[in-house]
Amino acid sequence: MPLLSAITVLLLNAIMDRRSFLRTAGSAAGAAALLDAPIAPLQARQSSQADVAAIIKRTERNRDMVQSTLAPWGGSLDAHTTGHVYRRAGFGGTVAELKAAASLTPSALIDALLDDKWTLDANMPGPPSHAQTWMLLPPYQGTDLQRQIQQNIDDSNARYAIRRSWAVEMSRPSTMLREKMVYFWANHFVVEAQKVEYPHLLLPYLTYFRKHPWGNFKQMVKDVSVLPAMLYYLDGWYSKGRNPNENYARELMELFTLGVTDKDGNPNYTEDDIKAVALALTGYSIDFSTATVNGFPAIYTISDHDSSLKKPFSSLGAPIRSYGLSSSLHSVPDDIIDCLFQYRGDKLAYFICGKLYQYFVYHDISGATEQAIISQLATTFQNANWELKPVLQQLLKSEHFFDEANIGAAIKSPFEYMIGLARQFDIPLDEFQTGTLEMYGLSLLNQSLLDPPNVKGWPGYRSWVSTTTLPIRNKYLASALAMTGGTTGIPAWNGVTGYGENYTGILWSDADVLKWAAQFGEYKGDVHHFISQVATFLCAQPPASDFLTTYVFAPLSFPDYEWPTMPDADRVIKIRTILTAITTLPEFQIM
Amino acid sequence: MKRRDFIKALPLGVAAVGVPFSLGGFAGRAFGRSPVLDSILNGSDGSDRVLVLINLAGGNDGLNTVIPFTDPVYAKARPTIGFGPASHATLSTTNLSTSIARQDLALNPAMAMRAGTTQSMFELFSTKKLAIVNNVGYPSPSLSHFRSTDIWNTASDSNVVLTTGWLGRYLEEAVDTNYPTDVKTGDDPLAITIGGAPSAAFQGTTFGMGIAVLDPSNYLTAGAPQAESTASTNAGAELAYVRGIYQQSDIYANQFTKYFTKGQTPKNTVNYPSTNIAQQLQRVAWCIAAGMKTKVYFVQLAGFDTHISQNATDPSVSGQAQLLMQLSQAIGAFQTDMENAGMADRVIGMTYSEFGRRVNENGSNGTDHGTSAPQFLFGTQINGEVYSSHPNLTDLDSNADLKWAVDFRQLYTSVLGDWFGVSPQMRKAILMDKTTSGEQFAFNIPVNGTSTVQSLIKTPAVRSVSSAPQPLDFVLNPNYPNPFTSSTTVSFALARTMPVKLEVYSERGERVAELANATLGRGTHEFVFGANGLANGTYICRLEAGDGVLVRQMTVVR
Repeated sequence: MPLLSAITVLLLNAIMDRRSFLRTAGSAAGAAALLDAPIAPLQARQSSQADVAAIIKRTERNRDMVQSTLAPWGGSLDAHTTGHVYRRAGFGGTVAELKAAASLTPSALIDALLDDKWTLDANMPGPPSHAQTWMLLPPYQGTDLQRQIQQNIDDSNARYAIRRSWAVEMSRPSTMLREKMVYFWANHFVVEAQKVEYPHLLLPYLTYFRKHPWGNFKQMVKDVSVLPAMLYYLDGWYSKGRNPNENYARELMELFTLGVTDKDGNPNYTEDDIKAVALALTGYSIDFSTATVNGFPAIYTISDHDSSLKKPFSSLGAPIRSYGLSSSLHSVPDDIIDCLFQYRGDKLAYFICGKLYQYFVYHDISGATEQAIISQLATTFQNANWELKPVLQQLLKSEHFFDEANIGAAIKSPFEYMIGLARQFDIPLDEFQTGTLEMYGLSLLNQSLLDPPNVKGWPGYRSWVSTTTLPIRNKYLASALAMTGGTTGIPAWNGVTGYGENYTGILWSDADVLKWAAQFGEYKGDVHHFISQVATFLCAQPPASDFLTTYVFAPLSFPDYEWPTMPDADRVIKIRTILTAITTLPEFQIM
Repeated sequence: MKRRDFIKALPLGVAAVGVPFSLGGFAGRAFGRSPVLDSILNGSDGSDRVLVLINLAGGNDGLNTVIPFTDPVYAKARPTIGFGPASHATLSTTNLSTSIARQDLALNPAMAMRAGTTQSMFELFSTKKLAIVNNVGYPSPSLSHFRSTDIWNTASDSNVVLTTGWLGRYLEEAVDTNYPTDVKTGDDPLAITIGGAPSAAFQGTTFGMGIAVLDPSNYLTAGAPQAESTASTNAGAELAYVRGIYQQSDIYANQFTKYFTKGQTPKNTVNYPSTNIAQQLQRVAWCIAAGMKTKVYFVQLAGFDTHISQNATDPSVSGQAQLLMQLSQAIGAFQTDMENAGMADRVIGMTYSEFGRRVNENGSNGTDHGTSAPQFLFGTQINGEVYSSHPNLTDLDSNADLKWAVDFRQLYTSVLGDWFGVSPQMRKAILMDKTTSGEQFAFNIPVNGTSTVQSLIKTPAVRSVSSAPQPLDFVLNPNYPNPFTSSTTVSFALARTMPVKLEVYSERGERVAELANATLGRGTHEFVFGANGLANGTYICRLEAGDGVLVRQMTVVR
């Protein structure tokens, strides 16, 4: 086929696709239609024969043709693939970290990140700043208005302290996968700080996931079902006797374990199942009078538990029982959650593995991916008796994870973006700096940690970038950090923490910029080579060299032969300009 | 593909772009005609009309919004959170039955609250600018927040998953171009979400048809994108998507600069409350008042998932009453602002919420997920009435939930057809209506307590949106006799089978009859129009068929 005809066919396909609105339930081809047609770039470039050839060449690597599987990747790590691991299984890495990690085998690198030692008490972070001022005091429950107001202010300050300290944890390299899993779970077993106002509930909630980032999922579901933050968020502590509150039971199945339907569009549960599970989970409350380092405890009161016979999943043959009649705190979830896993295990395995796949690899699960990847992971998950670690090992060590087609296939979330920016520029973050980042997230980027918009969590992926959020990223964060002309960093958010200290900016001194640049070998030699190396480090899919010449070098407006002899005072300005140009490219938004 | 100037068309731009439109027997333009009639005859073609979508996220409890306060079943189902006899004095101030509704219904008293000297939702209703459509739902309802929200946003059947939004499909058809590639300098955004991410209702097939703007008066650009190819891989697809957002961001920068001065807060004619929803609507008002030609705006009020703390009467205690008060104040302020600014005839608003809630309250002073609920449309161009009956609280589905009477897509049909002038064929396509005769989702809902079926929109748009201008393939014959005393026969001929709507309007723009609303076959069709009870004067016969509209004048003389 002549090249131009091929382009025409592509365009026609794109146009035809636009008309085919209808996607049936369970067809993973649905969202794929959105992706099949990069109309704009193709049209813009079809005049140039050279470009057409390039497009055709790339098109041959059609995403539906991807043959990579879950087989262990046999390649060796380099800066490109190590960077991929650090971005996807963490929040980005420094030049030095990537260099060191590239000497490992892929398997060894993943195992080091998945090491259980990161879940031990000894490796738990210390409490957030000022935790001692609120963590051990029960909240004021009296009627004095002034004290009530003060309690609200104290709680608000403490919530911010928890968020800031979490962002600091994200920036630590050794425990980055643990924190990436906490980030995942907090968007899976969602609570909203807007409703769960008590820091005494929120901090233990985060700590739970830090201690069980890749543990046994069945145990997690049992534990989370009676985690005080969850009891509070989805009204479990209100649900008593024969007059239950369905909030938790519904989301338990819809969002936390099964999904509404399976991949073929069949319902995974019925309204009767929800009612049965809601009845089974009655009898819990929270003791707000006892504050401990573990927050407020959950209480189970057997007289508040509905003792009638319940028929969850009755069409599947689940036993008709009253579920959970012992007086132990865990008797109810142990009983009903076991039932859920026993009778809906296959659906559950598929749902959870699909969500992990989306998080670590690609948001759009095609039919081919369903068969080749998700179903295999689900089998691993079930065979491992709901242990998560084997699933993560299989996925993160696979040739599919390292497939070039999937490197750069995720759009950075605000915190992946902000923490990543600091990590890639090797700027350590403290709580006062992450306080500034938190305010950017909250006010302008659509993400305030622990406060997703609803029980489903942030929709994520493509929804992170919009005509509102992208300009903020570029103007206030990337450009600011690399900007010339007096400002040498992200300015402090205008405000103080609730404890009287100032949020601080994230500064990057000229000396640090030069030190950073010096990591790129002969960086004073050829400016084009330097730009290319920096772009390769910063971007998951670095632009081609002719692109960099046009869009990064040309705007510098100086003859490249001046670069080697340029005084450092001038060079640092040029370097910042280069970094601004690269970090504001679309290529920097993907990871 | 050539872009049609849909968005830029002026109110009278119909002729300019050559869309088939005929004045039938009319000899030019008469003086002294009402603007409403003018609009029926000459178009509003829908091109300057604006829809503001207000999403009530979380599932608003319908039974405590439009309250069947005398229904003993209601009292029994809601012993704690219901409006019992003690609150009937309060409800008398928002009693709908004393005005228009023919049932014993009252609005939640929180909806009688207004901001400053603006209007409350109840006042909008009293002045016939608020339509209350009872019992809106859909078959096989989903009780999941997210699935049901998707169903409303995509206008799909309950068991069908669509990836495009209903307004995204409409806007795609309206611009008929590669969006945003072919957007020209001087174009305004087709749709705007006030916030961080565009509404799913605006999702088109290849791209979102709307943009997100937090503050229109301080629009920022992401920077100019580079026209580069992307690999046909997962990674390439995401890069292409990000490039598209850069492009969207960049192409509208000049427009926002044109309409707004950076650093200057635009002025409104009223003071808006400081609530989030009111601030969002204030920003919508900025855009409209500045002259932006954006068709659809999306704002959201969240928090309606009242499993707990739904105590009925006191906005300071009840989560729902607090939200309804905010809604009433925000909508009232916005509507007053539009009226003061002279924009009101161009703007309507519509609420939607993914579901209503269970009839019986739960044991936590709240309600669990349910099914159908009332929705609201407001504006000077809305026929303010109560539509449909209140749900029957004794005839419940197997899950003890309400049975719906109005499919939400019937509201969409009204908005698309009568407000935006989308042709029957096209709106059938947009709403995935695969029936071969008539419209599956035609708005045929009678006014509460009557058998009167009327449009939700006072003055339907006449311009039809179709893929390309083409010769009409139908004819509206002169009625006979004309003038007439008691009845006259209207006939028209169709060249092919097509959906047809034949209506008669008074000179003031009120619809007095709907003679036909069906898909009819090739050939001549006759309908008799009886003028019993009608005053002497001129009436307009309006035929909407296929992709066009024809009108003729008829005169009643006695």
